[in-house]
Amino acid sequence: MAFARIVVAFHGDLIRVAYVIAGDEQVAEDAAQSAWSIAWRKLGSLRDADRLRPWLVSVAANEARQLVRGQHRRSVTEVKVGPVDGTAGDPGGEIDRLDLVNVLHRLKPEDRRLLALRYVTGLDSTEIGTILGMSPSGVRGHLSRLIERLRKELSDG
Amino acid sequence: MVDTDAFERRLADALRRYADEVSVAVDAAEVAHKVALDHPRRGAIDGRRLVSLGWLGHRLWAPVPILLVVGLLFALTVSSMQVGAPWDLRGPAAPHPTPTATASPAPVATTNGGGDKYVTGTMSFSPVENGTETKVGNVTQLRGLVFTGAWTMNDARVNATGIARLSVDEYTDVCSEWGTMRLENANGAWEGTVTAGAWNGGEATNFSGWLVGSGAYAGYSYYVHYWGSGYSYLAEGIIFQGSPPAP
Repeated sequence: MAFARIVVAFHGDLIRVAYVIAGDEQVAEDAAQSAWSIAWRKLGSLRDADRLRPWLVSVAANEARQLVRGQHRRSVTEVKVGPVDGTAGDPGGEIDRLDLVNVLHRLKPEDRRLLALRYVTGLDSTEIGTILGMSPSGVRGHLSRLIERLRKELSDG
Repeated sequence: MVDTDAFERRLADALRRYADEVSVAVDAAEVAHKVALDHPRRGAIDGRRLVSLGWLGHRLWAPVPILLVVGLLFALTVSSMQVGAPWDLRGPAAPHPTPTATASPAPVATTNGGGDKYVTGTMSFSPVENGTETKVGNVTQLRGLVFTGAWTMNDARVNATGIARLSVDEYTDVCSEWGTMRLENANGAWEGTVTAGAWNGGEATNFSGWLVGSGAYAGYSYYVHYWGSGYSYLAEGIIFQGSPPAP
């Protein structure tokens, strides 16, 4: 598959994951662009075609995490306020967007990366463990603790 | 993964909605072009440095699975060509710069891309046939090399798969290369000759050639230029109505 076709196939995955980690569209785009540069240079070392998507996503996630870490000291992140959907505080309804953004902002970039890889990209614990250098059980445990924290912070516990 | 409860499902939904806010529109050809310009020396596959087209004889020592895939691609490409391949596998002993594919195409207004245009994109190729190798003094003459390629360009007229049949004279550190090329997609084909020089121990190869359109592209010419190393190249070219210039 030619490189541009790979870009077409997976750019959406890369930029969505980066956006959840960075919380900023421009940073997400920068992370995706950096990821494609890395992919261009290292794609040939990937031996298993089935690993292409997880590998690309992991590269973008790491780039986003590093960009966020670089920005962390210089400013307070602007939280973009989205439309009010009227479900805030409703434990059985949709999670309010602003609540979610605020909670994400309080998390470490590593935790946002884990959430993005699991729920946005849909990777399982084995795939995430391979990316993060953790055991599948370690991923499950970390994710479970993270969910419990979010449950409390989103007043759902 | 852990069992999901109602909260986790709502969290997943909320995260996906949030992620979907970002625009994912992309000009893939532009991205590919930019990263290749920033990093022009991509060439490592399977942990081994690949050499340029001028060193094809060495590159064809590829792992067996790659050769099997390449063979399959070749079979598919050949079977898809209705008119057959008019090229001689044994190229001339010296570069042959004069296009020979088509004489004076009659202009027709059937292309889907309008008129003249500068195009950019990428090209990747796979070796199909090793050809023969003859040593003449310090020169290694490679003949009958066959490649299939995929072109991803920003103009549908030249977004195509193709086949190239090449000859190479390999000197100590440089190569001269020449041959024929045919690009094809669902609407038509481009066919003509290409020549190249390679240097820097195989790190740089620079091709160009004139291709003549047929099918929906009859009456148009495509000057193509591609360069790089390894299996992936940057590409650019121009499309215009009319015949290639006479030497």
